[in-house]
Amino acid sequence: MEKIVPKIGIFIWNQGGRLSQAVDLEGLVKKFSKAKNAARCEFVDELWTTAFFDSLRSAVENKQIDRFLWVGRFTSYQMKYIKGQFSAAGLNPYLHEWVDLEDQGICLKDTAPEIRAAKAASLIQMALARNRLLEPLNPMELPASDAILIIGAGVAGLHAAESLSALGKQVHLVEKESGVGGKVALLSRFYPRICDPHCGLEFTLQKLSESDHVAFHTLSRVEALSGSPGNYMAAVQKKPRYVSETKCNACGECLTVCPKEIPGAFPVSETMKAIHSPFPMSFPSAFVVEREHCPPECRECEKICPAKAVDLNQAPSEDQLRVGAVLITTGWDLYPLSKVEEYGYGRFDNIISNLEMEQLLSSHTRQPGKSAKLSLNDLKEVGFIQCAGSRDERHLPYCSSVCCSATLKQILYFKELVPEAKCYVFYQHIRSSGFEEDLYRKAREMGDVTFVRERPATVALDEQKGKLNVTVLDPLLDKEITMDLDLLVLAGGMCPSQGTRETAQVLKLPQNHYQFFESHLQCHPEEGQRTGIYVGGSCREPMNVSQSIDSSHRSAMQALKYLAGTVLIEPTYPVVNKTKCDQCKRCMEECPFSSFVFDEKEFPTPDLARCRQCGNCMGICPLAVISLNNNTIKQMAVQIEAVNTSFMGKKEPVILALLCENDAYKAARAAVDQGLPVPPNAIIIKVSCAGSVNNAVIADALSLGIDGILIGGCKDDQCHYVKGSQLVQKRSGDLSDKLKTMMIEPERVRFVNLEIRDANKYVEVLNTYIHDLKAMGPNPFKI
Amino acid sequence: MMFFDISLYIALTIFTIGLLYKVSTWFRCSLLPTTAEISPGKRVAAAAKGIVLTVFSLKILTLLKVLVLEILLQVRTLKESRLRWWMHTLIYGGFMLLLLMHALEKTVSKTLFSHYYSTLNPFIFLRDFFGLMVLAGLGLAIYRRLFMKIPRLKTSPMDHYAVIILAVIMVSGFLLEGAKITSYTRYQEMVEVYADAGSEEELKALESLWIKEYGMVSTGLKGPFEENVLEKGRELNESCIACHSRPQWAFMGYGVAKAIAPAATALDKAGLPTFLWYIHFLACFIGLAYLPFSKMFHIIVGPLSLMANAVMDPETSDPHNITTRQIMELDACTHCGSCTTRCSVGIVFEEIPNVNILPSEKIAAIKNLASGRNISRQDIRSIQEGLYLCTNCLRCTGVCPVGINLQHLWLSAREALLQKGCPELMILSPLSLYRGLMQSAIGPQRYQQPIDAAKKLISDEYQTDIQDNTINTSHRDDTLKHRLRLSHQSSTFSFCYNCKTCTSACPVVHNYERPRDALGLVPHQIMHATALGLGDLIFSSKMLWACLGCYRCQDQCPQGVHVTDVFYELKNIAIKKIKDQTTDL
Repeated sequence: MEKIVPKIGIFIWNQGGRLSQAVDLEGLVKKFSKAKNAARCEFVDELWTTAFFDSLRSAVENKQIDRFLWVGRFTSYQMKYIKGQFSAAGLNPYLHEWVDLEDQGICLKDTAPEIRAAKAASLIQMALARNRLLEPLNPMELPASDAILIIGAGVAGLHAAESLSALGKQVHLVEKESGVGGKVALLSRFYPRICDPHCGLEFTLQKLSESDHVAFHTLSRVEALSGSPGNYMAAVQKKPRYVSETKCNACGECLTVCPKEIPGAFPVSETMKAIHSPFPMSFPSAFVVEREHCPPECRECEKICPAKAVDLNQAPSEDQLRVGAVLITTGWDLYPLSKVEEYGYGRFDNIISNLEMEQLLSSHTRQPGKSAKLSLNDLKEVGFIQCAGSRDERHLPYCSSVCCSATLKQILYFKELVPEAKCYVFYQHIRSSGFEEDLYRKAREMGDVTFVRERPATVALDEQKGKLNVTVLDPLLDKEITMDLDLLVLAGGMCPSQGTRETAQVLKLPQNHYQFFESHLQCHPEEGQRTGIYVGGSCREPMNVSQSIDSSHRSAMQALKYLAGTVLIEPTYPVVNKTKCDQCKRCMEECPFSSFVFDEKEFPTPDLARCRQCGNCMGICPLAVISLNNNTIKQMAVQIEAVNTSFMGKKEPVILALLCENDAYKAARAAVDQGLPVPPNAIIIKVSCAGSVNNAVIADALSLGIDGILIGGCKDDQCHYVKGSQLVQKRSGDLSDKLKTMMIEPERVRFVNLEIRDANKYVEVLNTYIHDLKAMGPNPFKI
Repeated sequence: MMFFDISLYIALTIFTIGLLYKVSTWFRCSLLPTTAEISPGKRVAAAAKGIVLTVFSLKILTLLKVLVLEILLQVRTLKESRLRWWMHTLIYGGFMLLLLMHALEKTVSKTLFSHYYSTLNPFIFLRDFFGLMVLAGLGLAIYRRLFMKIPRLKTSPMDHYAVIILAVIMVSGFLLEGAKITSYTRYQEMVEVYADAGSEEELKALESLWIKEYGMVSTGLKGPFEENVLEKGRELNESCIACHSRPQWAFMGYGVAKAIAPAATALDKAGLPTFLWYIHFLACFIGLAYLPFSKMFHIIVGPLSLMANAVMDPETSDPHNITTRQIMELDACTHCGSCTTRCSVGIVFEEIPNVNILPSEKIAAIKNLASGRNISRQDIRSIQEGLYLCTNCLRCTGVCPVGINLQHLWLSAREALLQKGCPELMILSPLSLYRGLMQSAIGPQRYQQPIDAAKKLISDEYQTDIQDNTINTSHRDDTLKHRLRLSHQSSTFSFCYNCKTCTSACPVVHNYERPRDALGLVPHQIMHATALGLGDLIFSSKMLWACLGCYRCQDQCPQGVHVTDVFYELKNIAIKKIKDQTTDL
């Protein structure tokens, strides 16, 4: 292989005279003209002229320059412009290096000119060293599927499916129940417009059933997911329905012969036959047989079916689905209220959950005459206990955010059905946020809805009256109030559904401490912590229906990038040097996005489609054999090697600040921009994440005589890559051991959390550190 | 004539006695119990002193102004209503002129006009003209009372009497005049006295002329008459002309004469003129005798009241005189209804049919009260209710055409009833704000006692039987909420979300170091207790009754709860229950 000798064009942009006022640019130009590999070195007053770029372009074309080092402050827009100017001439955009002297305090007038000059020279020297090692890089394109797997056909899944199928994407909707609709199909009404959710669901289903791009997999579960974003392979197991989805037209003939009655799901709902219409919504319309309830040998339904749709010999089947992305909309379950013992759920028939109340409220829309234990018209005094099990450290410590509005909605609708009924709401805080306040107001306007700010301590059944005797201490009147209620509705909270838990296991998707799917919540809430896997609706956090739909749409939007048929990979991904790797798997364990997989020789290798290129693997690797392209350990090492450790003179310590480019670096830059007295001692190197700083780099720097290392990362729970800051701190133990063997004080490495606008804190931290380092004395390795 | 004189003297005697009696009541009666300090003697002395001091001071100018503007020109009535001004001016002007020119002709007209003859022009014309004025005024009065449908304007028997007596006098006068014009008997009498010497032919000519031109109806003679006969009659009539203008000038009487002409002879023979004459003067004498007891007494008292109103001041005037004036004012009332039509709470009468709500009707009740007669408890309750529904807006006082200080009258009447020991729950309402303002005039002792009585009434009725701090279903009254929901304002109680802003804003709450101990419930608790239907708990809370009605809570409520209005409604409910239970309150 031919050894390439770099021909570097060094251009110092005077920024309209701003730099030349601060340092002697002539001197710098003179110095670096003679530098190794420097093809040209000059300072430019008029940078943004066509003539300038034309002349350089021809220099590139004539192979006089094959890479650039730009000194000056360039905005990201200007960088993109400059890269564009030369890409036509065949120069790879990764062969540019940028040095912003201003960010490093070169223009601060309080600093002695000779220090500024020395620091500027050192910074250019460093960049030059790195520049020599730059490699041309090109993005990768991976072939990908254009299908999506949506797990959970509730309201969120259905709406996402509708949007995606309308965009021409193939949608696989997997639902474990016999029918779609999920929890929303169980509701009598939804707010804020208090209309029947079946209306909206039917509307969506109509569109989905007309689409050529949607496949419904009911009675199905995802058993395994392999592959990577753009190219997942999902194994979907389907339970037998025992009724052909194509033949059955739901005539109901089978119901007349089915001998087996099985209980309905709720105390307020009727019983049903073992063969019945799908649940929660009768979509697909084909009936389903609950075979485990059938009397053995009974095949009555099969015999009578006029369409010959029943097939009791149906066997489970498995599908392999190739999809580009996965959207999880597995929703929520009601917290088991029997655990909230004080409210007597399960002991008395007239204590029901809010979800059961929804059933009760829609009971009048069903066929009459079925056995119902409760009848709406008998309810004259109804109590609602809010936060039943929610915001309770013993049960659900969080607020489910929908129960208040749900109760208010139930009251509004209930009062529509039974106007003379009186309602009592026992609550701690009514959290009907936003426009949902209207529901609260309307409920109060009704006049006989009374709000008591206390949850009852006990509930007893008055057997003579058949009423529930509820006692609360009314804090407003400071009196104990007892009431006789016909019904008590417990507003139970939302917890992650069974499906959510199962899916988390199958997909190995992290869950938060409440067992909902982990999400950044702020910057990219729709992404699960596995690239290409998205979460929508209330499997991420408690949401109401409209928020769920909203959320699933946003997730679908994000998922689109893996449904394009190809996946574009930025070339700055990590590369494992497999000749040196000892397969310790630290990278696999610590990668915040679990992107590492084994290659065919059992070496860990990043799945490029999943990788977010944060560089934490590079930081964690004990052997320092993982590097991000364009940001290699070697490049960092030569850069550090080029630091002039005595630019501050004999007494002042020199600090190497390795700052996260997202927050800490911007804080340092803001300190300069705000004109704060930033001490000149620090030389800053931007890193992609604090977690990408390898201990080897630090040890190297210290062995070169740099007096102190400052690592700046985001606040622990604010890291863009989830846990970069934590990881680098976790490694500090290893590092101090290593430093001790090198006879270097571990205190020469300091970690600091900096938020993006922590300019003052940065200066303060730097000053304290300088003070401490002075006390410690110079680095023994300092020449 | 003997009968005339006797009846005149009787009428005058009754009038005089009545007048004296009435005036004496001004000094004897009072609304508040008479004490040694305010004895009749002292009141007479004080009145005399007051009159003398006023007359001999610059205030005399004020009195003159009142005399011209308010008494003679009736500007107060003019401001109130043009129609009524015309009505009053026609009746009062016409009648006064008739009184002076006609009734008192011997003393007034004859003295002033040496050639006065009632049958001569212009007097013959003026008499009818003045009479017509009165009749026109009466017509307006009848129109106003019967046809104008003024809301809540009450017409009493006394109003009927006044119209009737005047109408009888006027109509009988015109009829008498007409009858006399046609009367052959009267003609014969005159001929006998003045034209005795004439020949048969001459007398016939004269008679013809009188039939033709004076409207007389003869028994024998009938027209048409020849011109020479009439010419002769005219010659003979030269001497009559000195006393008799042509009767056409008495246009009313002449009209009557023409109307009754066909039956005139018979009527004349039946003695109609004499009969009408009796009616006419007897009606006048009845009116005169009854005047001190009728609403016509205002002819005398009205001007006095107006003058007293102009020079007296409730703050500075002698309390004796104020008491005296109040009783006098009761006599000044003409029951014109100005106060009632303008009363700002008069509309309540449509809902609560208690006439004592209407100021003009209350006067009668207060007269009874002042007279010291025994009044039934029920009547007292009715008066009290009427008095307390008053908002003291002062409109009635402002519009009274005879200058009665109605405002002050109501206050005195209220106090009089309260001091009689009739507990009044309204005293706990802002409707007694005026009483609070008048606290210094009432005196601390007398001020507080009725309030305590009313509070006791409430606390006796509403005792919170919520012992041991437990409220059960039996304490809760859903009808309470139902009643509150009947009005838009009070139905807002349920909007409350217990932010407690009302309580923080309440000046009453801030008046106490430990408000909950002092007041029972504070405003936000009352709203909450209302939502729970805890009527007795609310009614027994002192807060409800201590509310000043300043509306701060309501102003600051972020949810638009009409806190103060809810309080009012709650109080109404509480009071209604007490009233319904105890009819003898």
